[in-house]
Amino acid sequence: MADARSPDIETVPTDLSLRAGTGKARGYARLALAILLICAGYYVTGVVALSLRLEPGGISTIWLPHGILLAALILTPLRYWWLVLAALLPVHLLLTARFQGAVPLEIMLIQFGGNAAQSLLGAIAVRRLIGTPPRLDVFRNMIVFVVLGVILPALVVSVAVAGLFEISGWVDEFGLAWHRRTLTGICGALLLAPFIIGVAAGGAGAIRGLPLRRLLEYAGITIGVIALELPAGNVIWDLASQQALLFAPLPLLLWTAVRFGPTGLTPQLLIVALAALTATKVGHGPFLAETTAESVLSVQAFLLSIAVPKLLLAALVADRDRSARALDERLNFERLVSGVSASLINPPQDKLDEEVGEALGKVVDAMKLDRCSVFQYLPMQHGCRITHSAESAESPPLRREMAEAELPWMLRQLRAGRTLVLNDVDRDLPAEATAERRYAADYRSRSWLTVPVSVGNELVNAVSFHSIKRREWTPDLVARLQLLAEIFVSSLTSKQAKEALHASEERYREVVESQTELVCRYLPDTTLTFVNNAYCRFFGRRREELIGRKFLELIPEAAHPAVLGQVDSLVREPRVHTYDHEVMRADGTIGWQQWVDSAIVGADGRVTELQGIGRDITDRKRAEEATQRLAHASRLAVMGELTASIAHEINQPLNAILNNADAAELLLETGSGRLDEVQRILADIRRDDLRASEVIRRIRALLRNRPLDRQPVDLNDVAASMLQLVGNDASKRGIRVETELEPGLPAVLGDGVHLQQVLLNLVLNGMDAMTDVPEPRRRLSVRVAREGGGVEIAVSDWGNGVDPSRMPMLFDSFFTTKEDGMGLGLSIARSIVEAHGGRIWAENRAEGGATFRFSVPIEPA
Amino acid sequence: MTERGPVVHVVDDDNSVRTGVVRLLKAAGYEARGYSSAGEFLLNRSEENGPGCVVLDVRMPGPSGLELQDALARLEVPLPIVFLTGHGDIPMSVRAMKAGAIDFLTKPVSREALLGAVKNALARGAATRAARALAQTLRTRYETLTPREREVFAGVVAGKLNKEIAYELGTAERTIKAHRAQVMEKMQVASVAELVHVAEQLREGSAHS
Repeated sequence: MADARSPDIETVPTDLSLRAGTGKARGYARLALAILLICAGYYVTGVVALSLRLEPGGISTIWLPHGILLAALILTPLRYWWLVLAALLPVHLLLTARFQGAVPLEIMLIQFGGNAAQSLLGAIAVRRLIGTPPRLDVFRNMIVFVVLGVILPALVVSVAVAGLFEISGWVDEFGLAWHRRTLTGICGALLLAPFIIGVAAGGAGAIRGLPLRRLLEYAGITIGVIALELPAGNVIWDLASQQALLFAPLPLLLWTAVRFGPTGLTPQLLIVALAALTATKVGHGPFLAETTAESVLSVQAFLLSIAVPKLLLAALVADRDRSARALDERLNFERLVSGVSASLINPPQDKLDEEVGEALGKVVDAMKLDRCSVFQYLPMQHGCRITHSAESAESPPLRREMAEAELPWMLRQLRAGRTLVLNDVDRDLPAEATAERRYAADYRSRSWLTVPVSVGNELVNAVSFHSIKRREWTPDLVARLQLLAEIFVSSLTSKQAKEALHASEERYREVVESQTELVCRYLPDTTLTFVNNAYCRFFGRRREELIGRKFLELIPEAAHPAVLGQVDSLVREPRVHTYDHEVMRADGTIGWQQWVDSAIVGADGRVTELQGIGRDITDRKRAEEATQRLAHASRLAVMGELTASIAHEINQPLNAILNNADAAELLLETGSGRLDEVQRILADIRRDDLRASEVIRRIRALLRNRPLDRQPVDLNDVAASMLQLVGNDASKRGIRVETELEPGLPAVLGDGVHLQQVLLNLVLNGMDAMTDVPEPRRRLSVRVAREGGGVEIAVSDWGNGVDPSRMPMLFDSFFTTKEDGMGLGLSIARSIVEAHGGRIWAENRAEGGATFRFSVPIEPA
Repeated sequence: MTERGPVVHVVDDDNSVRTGVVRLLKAAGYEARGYSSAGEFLLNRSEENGPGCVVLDVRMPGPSGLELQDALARLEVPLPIVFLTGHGDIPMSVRAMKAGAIDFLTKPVSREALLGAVKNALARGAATRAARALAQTLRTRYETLTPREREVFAGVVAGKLNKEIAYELGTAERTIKAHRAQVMEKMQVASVAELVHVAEQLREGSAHS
């Protein structure tokens, strides 16, 4: 049934059967108890029925045990029927033996066999046509029960039994035996079975679940019925034995039928029946007839005429009630669904959690649940989290996080896509689900429904509905709650997706905003479209003041052409490009920024926007300028030391020029000069002039104060021209200079003048280091060679070496071993080399003297 | 030995300077030769005792100008030296002048200065050479004297009377007279005063060598 309608629902059977997994011992205990109860009921009702016989020794008027047997078989699975029958046979024999006296065994067997067959037929019909649990508060079911479960089997079986009785000579009159037996069975079944079945199907909870008001109402009616019947048995029937009074309790029974259904009605019918029987037995009431047989028939006819219509009416009313309730419920539910959907369809993101919480609360109220919660499954964290939950006042609050180990069975089911339907946690959880049992106990969950919501095959969310009281999750209800679960989860999923997007945007924004780097975007005309906090801070302006304006306004006018040129080149040729430029800082001073800019290319391949990441490099620029000034000063100082040498370098050609000019003049004066001789002289004069101006140019280059200008440089040239400059000084000091150049050196990227200064420094230091050594030992070697990824220049002297304790401080500023030194030469040399991405170091050689080396990386190809 | 014109030797490692100086000297009518180092000059000096002078750069790779000056003095080469320097420094010029340098010129050097210095040097050289030549002649004459005659020579130059010399040498006055005449003749002098002057020149010459 339910399975056919919703195949993904795991329905848990709810009959009295033994279910696999409940534990065998427990199952057998329950079975034994059930059979014991059946036997007890059979015996007790049997005693009552036999005591109230109108003709002693004869057949009972209402064979109540039939009601017990029929109800027992209807409620018990087919495979245990033999057990029930086998258990009841001795009870029946005992009963007959005690109360009917000398009844032959075969008669007793026929009696029991007849009863059993009659019940079997009825039970089979009911189970077939109504199903389990057999609900008799449905009109159709009640008709099936009355006609096919009770009346028809009685009519049919009684023919056989009466026939057998007659054959065996137990009765003389077949007709009488047949209708007696038929009616007594029918009455017994109708007056007992609906109650037992109703209670068993609804469970004890169905009665406990009734509000006190309803219980009082029922008790009141029952007392009323008893009040009318008890005296009736003794007084009223006697005083006014009128047919009219027969109907005195009928209004009350009608009331019960309308309000409490067949289950409620049956006990009251039984009361009326017992009262009628008692009265008739003691010789009162309207049913006393000429013969006992007539009296019996009269009582039976009366009871049937009341019971059958009333039972059908009760079922009909229950039917109607239920339909009305279902309609009402459906209406409410639809209202609930539309309310929930409306509130969740497009709420503001920050309100969604609140809305979901409220909607869950509405569901709890409307569906009379105790808790409704939304889980998020977190496979990576091996557990789940309750993202939203609403509880009734009675329900204990849930923990938010749960480990997989706390609900392993449930999560397995959910992952497999199965909805968990647990009408009664105690009964319906399988034995292996011990963790879930504990969980249910901790949170007072008696009934439990969990709907998984998967995306693809992955479990993402689940929505759980709980009730503290036992509750039947009908397929209808399950379908509705599934719908609700879908609504909740889909709204949350879209929220989660939005949140993920938002979080990623947020992360990005935080990254951008937390940068100390300046970040901006701008159009090709330098109009700013985005700036980060650092950018605003740097310029001391608000974001609104900057966006929409051109950043060119923040740059000194002198730098405009250069900056525009950089931007243009980026637009023409999109790439990542680094450049420095001056800016006007917040305090009005001029600063420097370095920008790494990249062009953003639109779908049409054109540059739509540019992005820049900038840094304040004012301090670095200033440091560079300071180093540069210092380097310049140091160069001037070095030049001072070299004046004599430089004078010589210039004087040589000047001297030659002068001599040549004088010679030419003399030749012309004396007239002895030949033209070709004069031409040679003039050529030499030109050569020497060029030589002098070359020296001057070189010196000017060294002395000019200017920033680092990196070009491909051949260090061989640097060394050669340097040595020319100091060669004279070296020979003056009696120092032999050895040079070792490596032909075909790759170029390095650097500033020739600055590198020359470094070398000059090392060479002069080396020469100074040899002042105290005897002249023949004075040697200075300059070696240029390729080493690894760079070109290395090594300057070795044959002095006394560097005091090892001073080695570490050698390149520090203001550290000097010379009396008149400033201690800047090597520190400047180091800053120059490091600005070239190279390094400089010194070492003492074992054979004496020190070698200073520096290397500069080869220009990347 | 044939007398030749004076030669100006120019020793400078710098081609331009050397060429310029040589050219100027030639234009001024001197015979000038250039050498790129002190070593080259010493090896190629063909006429050891020819007249001339040296124009020498003080600073050169290898033996410096001052070292060459020392070497020439040791070799008794009577060439006066004119120093050229790019950066005249006082200690060096003092040392050079003490060692007999004629002049110490700072580059760039003008025509007048150079030619004047060279002329001066050559004159000095010529004078020295003449003095040397005379001393040589006197020595040659002196060497023709017998030991007795040299004793008489010393006595006469010392201003002693014949009688005193005869007494000292243990011989007759008349014998001394004959020796004295022989000495005057061999030394080609006419008077005792001349002989005394010759004796002084000889003493100076031996002190020089």
